[in-house]
Amino acid sequence: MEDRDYILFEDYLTQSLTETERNAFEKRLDEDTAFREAFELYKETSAFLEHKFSDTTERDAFKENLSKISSTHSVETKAPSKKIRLLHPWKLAVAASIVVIVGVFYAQWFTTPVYQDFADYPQISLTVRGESNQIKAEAENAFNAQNYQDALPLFKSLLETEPENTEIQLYLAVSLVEENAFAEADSLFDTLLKEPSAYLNLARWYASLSKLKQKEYAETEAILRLIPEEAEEYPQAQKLLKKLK
Amino acid sequence: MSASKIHEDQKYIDGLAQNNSFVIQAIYEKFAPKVIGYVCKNSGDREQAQDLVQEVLLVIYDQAKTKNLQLTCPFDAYFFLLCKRKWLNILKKSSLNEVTINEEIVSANEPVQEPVLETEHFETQQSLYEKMFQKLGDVCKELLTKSFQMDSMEEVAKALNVTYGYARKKKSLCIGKLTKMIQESPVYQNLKT
Repeated sequence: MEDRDYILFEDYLTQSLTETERNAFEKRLDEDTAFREAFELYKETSAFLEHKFSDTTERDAFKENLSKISSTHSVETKAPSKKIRLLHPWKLAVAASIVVIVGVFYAQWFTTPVYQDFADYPQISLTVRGESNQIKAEAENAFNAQNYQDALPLFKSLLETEPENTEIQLYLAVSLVEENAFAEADSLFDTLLKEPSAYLNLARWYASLSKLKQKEYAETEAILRLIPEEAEEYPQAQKLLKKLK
Repeated sequence: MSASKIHEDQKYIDGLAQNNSFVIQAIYEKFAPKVIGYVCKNSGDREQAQDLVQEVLLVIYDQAKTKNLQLTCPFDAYFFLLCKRKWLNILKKSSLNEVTINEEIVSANEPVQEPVLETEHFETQQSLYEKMFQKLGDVCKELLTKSFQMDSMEEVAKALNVTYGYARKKKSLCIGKLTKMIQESPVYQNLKT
């Protein structure tokens, strides 16, 4: 292409041509393949430069957000077990009582397991740094205070804005189990168990607890068997399976 | 563009383009673990996997912003295949260590292949444009930078202390030069075929 062609491209794109010139330009686009190809590339290159230079601030903000979420995500997935242990000092008390009533405990070992022995829900954290969401904070507090009745509507309202949020779906299901709304809980678990997510094994574990609370032992067992060996929930799943036998 | 075939997972693309934290979070929760698992099983570690995920999300963002990317398949499959192929490329380039690839069956159905190839095509194109831009002379680089950063060519002319007419003409000639360099590159020829 000649220099004057590039000037023409720019004039056409900035709508600086007269009607006659424009018509002639479009006619040439139709008829001349090389001209058309050069014009398409000119347009693309302009779009590239536009994005490169004028959207820099936006793009930088996106990159920053990405690395922020990425880092919180890797922390979240690495640390949960420690967090749970720290948050349950009462386990010490349980351990102490076990020593005292070892006879009773021994007898219990041979009885059918009950939901309360296994339903040990960790403290949750929904709010993300730098973001203020009143409902999230309230839901988190209600759940952590084991006030499931209050947590229920809050989780539901959060799901209205984020219907795909697996984490919230899971906590909603747990709250439903706690409130004995089994039908609703199990249908939610059904969906959660169908799709792969970071919470899949945790969902399986909680779903099995729901069945346990309903005294549906065969189902409890079936779900527990889905938890693979490498999952964090595997040891407790095996423990419960042993007791079910 | 076949508007009728847009997949409902387009919401993830739109969310990325809008820098929506909830959507990004959801992608990290729902789709990233699979990628991280794959990388860790194939000669990589967690950190490399996180970098890979970020890189791929940035390419998708760029494509959504400049090319109005429209997804015609599930995001899960699209995203995983993009990450997987990018990871295999990285491994190929750094073939210092012997690589064990535990190949798993990816749903290799047509609807996923096409958008994946399009995004890869887009990425190659962008890096070619970038490389050629860096090869331009300083005068063109400065003029183009200002032309796209400032609101009007009058401002650009003033900032560079040249006439408006000259700035306008120079802008089109610089872009013209850039397109010529791009067209002459073998990468461009490959992309065309």
